[in-house]
Amino acid sequence: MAADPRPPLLSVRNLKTYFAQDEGTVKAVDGVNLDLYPGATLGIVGESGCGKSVTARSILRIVDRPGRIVEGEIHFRRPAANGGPSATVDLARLDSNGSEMRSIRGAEIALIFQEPMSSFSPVHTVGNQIIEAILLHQKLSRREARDRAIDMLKRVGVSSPEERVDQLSNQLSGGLRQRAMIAMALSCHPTLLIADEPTTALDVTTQTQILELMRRLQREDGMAIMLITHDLGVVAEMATDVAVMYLGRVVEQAPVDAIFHAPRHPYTRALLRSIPRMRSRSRERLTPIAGAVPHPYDRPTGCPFHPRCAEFMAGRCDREAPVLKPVGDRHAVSCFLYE
Amino acid sequence: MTVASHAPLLRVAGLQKFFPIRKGFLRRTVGHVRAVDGVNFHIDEGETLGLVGESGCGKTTTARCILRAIEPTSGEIFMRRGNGTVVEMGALRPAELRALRREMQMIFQDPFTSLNPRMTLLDLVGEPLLVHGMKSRPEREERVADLLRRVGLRPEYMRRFPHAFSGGERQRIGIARALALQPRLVVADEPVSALDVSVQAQILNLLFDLQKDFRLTYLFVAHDLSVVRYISDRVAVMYVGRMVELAETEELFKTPKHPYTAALLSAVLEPDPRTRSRRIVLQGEVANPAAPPSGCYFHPRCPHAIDVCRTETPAWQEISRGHFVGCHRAKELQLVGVE
Repeated sequence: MAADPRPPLLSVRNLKTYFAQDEGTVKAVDGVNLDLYPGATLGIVGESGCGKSVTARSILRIVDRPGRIVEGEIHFRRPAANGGPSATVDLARLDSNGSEMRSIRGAEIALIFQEPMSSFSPVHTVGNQIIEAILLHQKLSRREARDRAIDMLKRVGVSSPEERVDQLSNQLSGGLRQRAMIAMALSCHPTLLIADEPTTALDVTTQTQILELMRRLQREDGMAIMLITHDLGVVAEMATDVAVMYLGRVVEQAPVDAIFHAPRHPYTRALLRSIPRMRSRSRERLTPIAGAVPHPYDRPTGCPFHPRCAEFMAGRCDREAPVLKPVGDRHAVSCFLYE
Repeated sequence: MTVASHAPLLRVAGLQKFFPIRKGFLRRTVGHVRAVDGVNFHIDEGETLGLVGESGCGKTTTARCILRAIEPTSGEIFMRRGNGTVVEMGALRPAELRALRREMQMIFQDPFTSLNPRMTLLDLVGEPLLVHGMKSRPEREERVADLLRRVGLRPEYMRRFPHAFSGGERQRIGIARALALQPRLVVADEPVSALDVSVQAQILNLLFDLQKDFRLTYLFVAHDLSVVRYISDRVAVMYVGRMVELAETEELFKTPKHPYTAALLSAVLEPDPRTRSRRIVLQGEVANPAAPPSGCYFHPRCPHAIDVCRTETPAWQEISRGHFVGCHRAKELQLVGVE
């Protein structure tokens, strides 16, 4: 794939989101750079504590207290209104509860979560919650909004949507709830959909259905997807580009094929070696990564991966922090091996 | 009681577990959830049987029945004791059952909730020793130190509490506790699914080494087929309380005979973007075990269902040596596995 001639839809520069706590400051996101192009799917992978979810919440400006964006820019290209030119805004500088952010959040940037059980209110019908989202962002009558909600439920493959629309979320199965969640997220035609572990809580056969559905809706609506997951299989299946995160930083970003077939960063390589595969022979020893992800208060100096890295260079990796540098076409790595 | 040195370590015959559904003021039983509905299998000494299926398929209930954590509704569970005698667990008196329990232990899924936070490692790992009669404290400490070393933890940590350890280390503590009484059968219920990807391989390798060193027999319950393929000698697949297929690992993965197994295999997402292919997308969702469909429970979702599948329960048949399947069309269908 050649470099995309269009400007990115979303471009994150040196984003830092810190949580100041009594025990010290947790640098959950510590200098993240990302680019996401219109209609593309960017997979963000990493283990627990790598900052992938906080990055997403920073973009939506819904970071929980005491978390705060302390530095960096989040450039988001808003679609042209009434034939006018598209404009770029820096989300990091907007008031998180101001009218501009509220008109973007849920409308132009939508979010689906991992946990379909807890993301709907248990006391309102699924339909009313979707209708509320529609009425918030679009000038429609309640009647029209209800029809739109039923249409959306039909589009995401909910059978008998006219009945489901009046049900409570606990009357739906996990798979149906995730479909209803997607219906709600897409009801305002977002240009960017952030999906945070969308299939982690689902069974494998249901996961296949939901991923297939997301792919079809992306084809039809053309939105970009930021897919956050710890599952390398999901990323390989869905993403066009991948960013690998470790302890609040992007350590490698590349087109999906390069990440899986020509990984450069020692962490990406070790991660790919450590997972059991369907096509490998059974009962062969795996090559694990030594140690564990460090505790957030106990951040290593220099490169955050150096205590676990097989290619650790003493005096360098533990003193200086590497920065993301291009090593190929749309391929960037943050490691001293490539400097 | 019979003496048979070549009998399998564990044999399960016609196991059923129904949970009553109670409703109304009088808590009258209005129906049953057929959690496990007629399951047959055996495990030989020193081997690993993988038990896979989606949520609600009865795999955990089967494991709990074997450990006698819950009383089965019907069926027999035979265990071969260390002295070669075969006992049926349902026929044992409580004192005999307690003695037998030393020989089977469990490793739990969640290392964050399965360890008492107020107990030190010494107490956690030493408790089973104390309960089963090791009263001398120095002797216990020595044994605990030995166990900790065996699972890759430093004995100096003996007086610390579990919160000081990472997920992977906590899982090692759980394993040390399970091994304290030198069991012969270890039931591991999703032992790596709560862990970070990079840590899973460490624990899988550890389980592997311990099996060789102590001649352990594993019943490995999991939903992740790549992990199951890695660890198991044979694999059993369950669907809505029934076993649908059981075979040697390589054979089951290469030549599945049940359409559900084939669908599960095709739903596994490989960490390789070049293997994206057309997957078998099953329609609908897993059947409700309180009101299962007629005939073969899988027929409403099966792409190969014919009339007989709707009316008759398929027999559990051995179609080639050691390969069991419960499907009317097992002999004629040509299903695709993992190459």
